[in-house]
Amino acid sequence: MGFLNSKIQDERVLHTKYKIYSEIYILVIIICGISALLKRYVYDLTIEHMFTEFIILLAGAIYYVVRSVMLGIFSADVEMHDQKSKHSMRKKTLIYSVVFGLGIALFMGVNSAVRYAEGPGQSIEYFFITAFGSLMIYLPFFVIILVVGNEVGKRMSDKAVNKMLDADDSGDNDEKH
Amino acid sequence: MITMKNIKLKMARVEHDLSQAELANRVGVSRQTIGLIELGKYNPTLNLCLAICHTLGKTLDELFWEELDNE
Repeated sequence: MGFLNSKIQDERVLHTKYKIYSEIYILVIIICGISALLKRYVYDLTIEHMFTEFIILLAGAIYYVVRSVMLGIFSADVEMHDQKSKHSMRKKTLIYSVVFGLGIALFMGVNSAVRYAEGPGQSIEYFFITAFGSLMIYLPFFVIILVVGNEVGKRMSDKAVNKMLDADDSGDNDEKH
Repeated sequence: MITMKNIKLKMARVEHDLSQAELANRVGVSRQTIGLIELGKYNPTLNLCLAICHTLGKTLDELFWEELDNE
């Protein structure tokens, strides 16, 4: 049985370690968030002083997306989501990007009307001008980043998975016979 | 890493006239996971093995048992 034991790793220990690693990542995000908030509101520092926190958060997010695309997990996530949900991930991403774009445009419009306008007439004018301008910028931005990004990621991930599945097979992976 | 194709799983799937995607859908996993298990590139947990067995009406022995080479 020694031969068998040498190939087996203690799954419980391994999985528990991975769980701890993922908790560490959440901890790092929380610490970065607290650090950024302290710098901004307690020490009254400018946004440039939060560069390190920003890089840590952004690098983590980018690393996750790149690795999940390369390893094909992205496709699996989309597939699993589409199996269970009434609305496809593609449709949801489009809705989210429009909602984000509209949300920011409305925020900018209200912000402009409240902070810079004098009188109700000017408030309405500023609101519509700023909201419309922001909508023209942010709506295409979010649609491109989220919808196109999602589509490109899905295709690359599909390619990675197909490569994994085709690597040493006769190419009949999804055939019934 | 030693990879051994799971022919028994593939045969059982074909017996039920299911594609990888259809089996995946019934089990509740992605098509890729079923494909990788068949290719021997992913070791499923016991829970997933059981879910596959229940879906295909087979026992663990029938789908996942492997004799040791050096016996």
